[in-house]
Amino acid sequence: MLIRVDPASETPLFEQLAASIRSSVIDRSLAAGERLPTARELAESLGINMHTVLRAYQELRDEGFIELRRGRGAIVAASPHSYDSLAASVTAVVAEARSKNISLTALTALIREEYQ
Amino acid sequence: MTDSLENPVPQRTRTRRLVIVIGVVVPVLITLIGAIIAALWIPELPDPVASHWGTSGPDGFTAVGGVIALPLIITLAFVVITTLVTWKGAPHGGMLWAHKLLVATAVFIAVLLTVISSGTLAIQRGLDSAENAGDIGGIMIAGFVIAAILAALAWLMLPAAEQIVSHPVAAEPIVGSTTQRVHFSTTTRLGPGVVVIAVAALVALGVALTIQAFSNPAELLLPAVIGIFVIALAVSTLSWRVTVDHRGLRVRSALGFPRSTIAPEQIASVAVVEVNPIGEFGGYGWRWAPDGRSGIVLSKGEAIEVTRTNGKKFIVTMHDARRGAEALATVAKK
Repeated sequence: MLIRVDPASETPLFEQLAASIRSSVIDRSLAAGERLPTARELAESLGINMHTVLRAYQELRDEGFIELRRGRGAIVAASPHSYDSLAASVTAVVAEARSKNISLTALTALIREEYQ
Repeated sequence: MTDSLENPVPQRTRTRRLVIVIGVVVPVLITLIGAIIAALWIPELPDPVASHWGTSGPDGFTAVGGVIALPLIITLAFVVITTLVTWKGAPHGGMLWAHKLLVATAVFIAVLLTVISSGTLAIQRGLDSAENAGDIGGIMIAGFVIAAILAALAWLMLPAAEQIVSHPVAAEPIVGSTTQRVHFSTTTRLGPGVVVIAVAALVALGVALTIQAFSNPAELLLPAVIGIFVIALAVSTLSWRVTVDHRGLRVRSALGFPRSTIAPEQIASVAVVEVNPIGEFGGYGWRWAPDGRSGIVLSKGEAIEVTRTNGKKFIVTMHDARRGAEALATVAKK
């Protein structure tokens, strides 16, 4: 699992953190049943507040990506469906956008519009 | 090219034939012949026979069947492992150094056990009681010498060991702003095939300790301490937690020990490399290779290779090694 956060970015830290973990689950670098670092460990590792990590974990739990269990920490949830085709589609969409010189902002705007 | 014209049999098939003949047929035949000869002596042997010698002559006695069967059982178990481990062979169809060692060891074990088993029975022929059995120092020495010579011959009959050349690919730091922070973590485990062999070996060790506990409790302490230490170490090295962040690379075994850290300022470069555990490290676990590399070698395939500023290389095999290496290159650069 690779996590990248940038405190200087405008996106809130907990959202950056949740996005990193979410894509690790979707691209299978985190397998179902695998244990995530404790909030304290991850906070120390990234030099951020523990409550920021907990907030990201709670968001991922609400989305069904992870399970939070008292005493056992965060565990990647077993998903009823595979994200493989979604991951492949995202790769394809990004490649297509790049080839047509569509910026990241423009692409996310397109996706947001389609989603709503 | 000329090789394939003159000899249509592929290298891998020839290697397997050699392993079967030298590593299986020869050891099993030796122990079988020894067992048959010893079985013919049964009418002349005392019952029970002496099976263990102390400083002042025989001090352990058992039924003759056990003394005859033990070399056969141990040799059969060892040749099965030898065949399983060497069957896939080296990448180019030859043999790795560790494969040759296993085959030679199969010969060594078969000869040593057969000489000791039939030798100790031979000196008890015609005795009324095994209590009067003579000294076996000479038999032990002869056993080791003959076994070593035949094992060396077996080694010489095998093809030269294939060398595995590793090709590290340097990892680039992750592109991003200077304020970005990275964290990479993963759990790396021993492959399921190796776990089966390791568990079998540990169960055998446990059984041996249990037998010792019942048959000879007085001499149990040292084997038990060593055995429990080995079991604990093996279990703790089955699974490792790997973390990369601003503190560098940290590896920690499932039980928390052993563990190790390489700080960012100790890192000269980071690369991704393909690892062949048997070929390059002679096995699995926390290993040291003859070429000076060390590391956590748990599976065949991708690994992070860290070159320290003092030139020493450290390796951790893992799934997703490329991402881990890029994360480490990023923190090392800072």
